[in-house]
Amino acid sequence: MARILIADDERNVRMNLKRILEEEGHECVTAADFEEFSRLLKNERFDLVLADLEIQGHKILEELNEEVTRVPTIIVTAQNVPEVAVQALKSGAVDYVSKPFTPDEILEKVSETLSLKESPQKLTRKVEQLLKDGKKEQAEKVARKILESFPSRPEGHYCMGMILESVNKELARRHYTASLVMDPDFRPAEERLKRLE
Amino acid sequence: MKVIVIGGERLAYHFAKLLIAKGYRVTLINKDPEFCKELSKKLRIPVIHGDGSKRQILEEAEVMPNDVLVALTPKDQDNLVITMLAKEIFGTRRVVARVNDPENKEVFQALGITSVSPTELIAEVVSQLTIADDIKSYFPISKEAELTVLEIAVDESSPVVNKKLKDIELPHESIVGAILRQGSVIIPRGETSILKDDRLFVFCHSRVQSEVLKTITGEV
Amino acid sequence: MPRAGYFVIIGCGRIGSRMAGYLSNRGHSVVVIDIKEEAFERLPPEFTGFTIHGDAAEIETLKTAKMEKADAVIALTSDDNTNFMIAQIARKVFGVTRVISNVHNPENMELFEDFRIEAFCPTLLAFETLKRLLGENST
Repeated sequence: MARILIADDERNVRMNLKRILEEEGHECVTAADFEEFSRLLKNERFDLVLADLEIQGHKILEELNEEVTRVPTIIVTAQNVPEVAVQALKSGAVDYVSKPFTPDEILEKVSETLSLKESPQKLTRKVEQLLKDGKKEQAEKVARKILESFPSRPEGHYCMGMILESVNKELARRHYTASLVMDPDFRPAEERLKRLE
Repeated sequence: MKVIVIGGERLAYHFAKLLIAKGYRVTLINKDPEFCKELSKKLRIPVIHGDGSKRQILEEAEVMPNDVLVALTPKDQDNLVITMLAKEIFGTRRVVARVNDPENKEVFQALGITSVSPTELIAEVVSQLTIADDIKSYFPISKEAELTVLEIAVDESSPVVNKKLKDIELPHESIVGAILRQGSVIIPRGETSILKDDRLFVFCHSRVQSEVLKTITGEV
Repeated sequence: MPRAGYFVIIGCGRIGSRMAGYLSNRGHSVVVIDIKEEAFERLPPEFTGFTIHGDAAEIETLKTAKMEKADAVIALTSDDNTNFMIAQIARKVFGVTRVISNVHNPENMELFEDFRIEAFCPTLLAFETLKRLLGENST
């Protein structure tokens, strides 16, 4: 079972999440303030983070971007607007749940995320490393996994583009373009595309 | 058959007056005792003082299956109870509820109750006024079916003036249903010519409405 | 405990707040809706659910509460007709299978029964209790 860090400044939400997840046998650690959350996230190992977008006025996706990208993070927030969800996903979160949530919603997202284990960013780095090491076949496998698990994210096409660059420039160009369609601000794809042209 | 009007203050009074003038038998139900007195004095019709969402009151009003029942209270929940009671318990088929929150139309519809939203009606009229300049106006008939009726005035600059209908290339999903010419209605055939100052009524699928407008007015 | 459920309670009065605390304590997710924000002050410390300040007669409020996902909806507002409407919406619009309503006026019990809405009337319950306490039940 997973070790999960729960961070929210609302006591009710922390308690509710803790109850739901402990019932499933997960180990939960809760943080009520930003300092504590940041300390725990930096010093301890967690399989998953459930956190509000803002804790005590700190925007966690901006201030803790590196950590959030490293540990799969599900954002739990009252702001149920698509823009917020898209922004959260762009900033490295893997999923998004709006408040109020049902126990089923939480359990579903948690088990989905845990089965993926790795964030698209992390997988992208893996692809880059594999390509550097000349392990193209393995890189392609990981890239396909990203495409499959995160179909609406730019990383999958970006990785496919990198893999194909040396064999088929046209196809690579199409993948980078697809990546930019998913997220027009996805810089790595933009840079690669520029270099190709 | 009679019309039973429940709640609704001034609206109920004027509505009842209109119905009486048209020869209908009308019964009013209202919660306000003073208003009930005034109504029965002015209109000389049966006026029942009480809460129309209560079964006894509807019984007192002798609600029958072939009556028409109109619920005009200011609370959507009260109108819902009244109309559902009438429909399900008294077997009245023709019931209409006023909805104050236009979003509740969906609720009433799901429960099989016809509803009218004054808010929406006013909004509709306002939007018609704002988009209907002299050239054309749009009447979206049904959102689901995406049917639109366009009323288009033909002036001398229009590319269809003096052309026969059959020679005008309109999109497939459209038809000129009627022409208003000097105050009389013409149901056009292929041979009918379009004249200056005609007003054309075109039925079309919403997706081709701009194409229709372009063909007839020549404007983009 | 059976699997954790999702409950929507409308009306945070004495019964509503108490029920919300109890269900929270049992590990369920609870959403409480009330038109008056002060009403949430009644919620006991064991309550760990969500509060929505809004008019439950507006469907928008019920959508915010994700009513379609509710295992049960409990209508406890102070107005019987509002409770009736909420119950109908929950069932017919959101497809909720379990809907329970409070009925203030005993005369309205018939209405809820006619439409097969599970309902209870505090006045009738108190009346029954009082009869029992007076030993009037045996006859």
